[in-house]
Amino acid sequence: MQVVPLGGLALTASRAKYSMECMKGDNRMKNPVWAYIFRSKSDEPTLVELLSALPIFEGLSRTQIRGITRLLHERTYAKGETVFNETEPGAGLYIISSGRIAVTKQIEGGEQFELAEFVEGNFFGELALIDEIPRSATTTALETSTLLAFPKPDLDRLIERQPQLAVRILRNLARLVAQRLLQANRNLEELQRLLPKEG
Amino acid sequence: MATAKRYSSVRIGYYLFASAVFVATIFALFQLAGALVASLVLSFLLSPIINFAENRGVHRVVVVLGIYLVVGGLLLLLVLVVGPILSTELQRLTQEFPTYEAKLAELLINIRASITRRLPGVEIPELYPYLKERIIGTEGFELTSMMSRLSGVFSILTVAVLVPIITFFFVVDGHVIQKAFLRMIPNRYFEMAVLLISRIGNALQSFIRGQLIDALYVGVMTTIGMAAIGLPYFVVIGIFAGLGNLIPYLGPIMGAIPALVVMLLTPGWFTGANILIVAIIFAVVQFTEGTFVYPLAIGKSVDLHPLVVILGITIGGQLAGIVGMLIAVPLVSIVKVIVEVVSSYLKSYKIL
Repeated sequence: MQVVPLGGLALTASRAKYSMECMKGDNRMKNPVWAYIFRSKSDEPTLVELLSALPIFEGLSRTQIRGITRLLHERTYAKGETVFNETEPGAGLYIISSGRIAVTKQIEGGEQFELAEFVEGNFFGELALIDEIPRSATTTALETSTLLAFPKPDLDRLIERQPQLAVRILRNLARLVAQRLLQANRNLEELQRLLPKEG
Repeated sequence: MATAKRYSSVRIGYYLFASAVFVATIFALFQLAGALVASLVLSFLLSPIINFAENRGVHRVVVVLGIYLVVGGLLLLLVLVVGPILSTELQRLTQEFPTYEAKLAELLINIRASITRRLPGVEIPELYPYLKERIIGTEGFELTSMMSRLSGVFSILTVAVLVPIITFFFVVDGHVIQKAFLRMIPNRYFEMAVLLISRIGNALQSFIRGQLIDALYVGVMTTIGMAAIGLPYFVVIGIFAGLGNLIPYLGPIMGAIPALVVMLLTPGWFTGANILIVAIIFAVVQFTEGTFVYPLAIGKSVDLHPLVVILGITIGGQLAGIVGMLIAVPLVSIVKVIVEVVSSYLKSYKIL
């Protein structure tokens, strides 16, 4: 279905479909004037949908998520560009709005070892929201990618200004970290069980 | 990265040019720079109150406008109550300044005479002209000229109109301004810039807020104390004591000098008992400030070495007279706060 850039009309017809299209196409509006006029109307629902699917923003109302979208910093990374380096102090969380991001770690000998690849709708770097912990891995764009940065200072400001909202986010964050800790414990147990057999 | 390398010099050139234009504009409009700094300080002071109200569901714009109304009302009250006292005090001081000056000259001539009488053969120069030139400079000291110099930098109109408006936008749209600034930062430095801005902001905020609360406490308490014992010019003395408090080590002493001068020159005031009373009041204010207010308001202090303080005051005095002496140390402290944050940060990025 060809989406006509008529803001409201197209949105009411099929919001989800429209937003999917929005995420992909950048050249849907060639004329900058019209692109500007329709910008806020078309981008916002897309973003809200993208964010409400994330576990860290679980349980937030649409209005609250709309508030969060105003805090986010949209940044575009060229293919091969580094988002952040291992050991650098972490400044915040990134949500992938489009593109692909590789997570790599340097192993002895200076070789880069790829741990994971993130795609549109994923997020990474959430531990930096808790504290300025040094980054545990390097992240690099595998193609031109648009990321939405949510820096820790912005979360700190949210804690001061809208504590109820911030507590929700922090609780979600705690849940994520707890899940990962459980998983790590399970992995550790398994490794310990394997250890005597081998050695 | 090849693309990054190809454009890096152009990009650096662009950023240098943009920041040069920005800095030049600010300095060309000195008044604007003053208004911006004042607005920044004000927004630092207002933000805790606004956050407190926002937590209770009041919109920021409403809070700021409410604060403006209340502060405007208080200022009006202050102008109506303290204004007349201050203006008569200043008027009296300017009127009687020649008499005071003559008294001071006489006093110094007497001192010199008594020294030469007791220690014959010791050649000392005329004290009064020497001191006058050293302290005030050759053009002479007038309160009105100091005021006009101050207002040249900071015209009343600017303060009254520009500062509240800029402060309003800093407080309500501060995040938008910061976001627009961060948009210009290249990806490589984005995280660094984010953390650096927030750290400098936090450090400056707590420093400025603490200093002002501290100075306000000393100023108000000294004014009340001086008014209680009936020393003339108590408001002027209080203001000087409060301002002096911005300077570590020497500040409290410098702040007490006006009180001493007033006592010296007011007939019947310069007695041992009176000096003791005034000294006790200053000591009590300093003690309560040091034990109760300072730890609460400033907490972690910005330690400046005494030598740095003395050098700062001297250089400030050389460059901009009395105003320079007052501004120098707080400025040095602010620079120190920024340098500390930046250097520790650059170290963690292994740039330094």
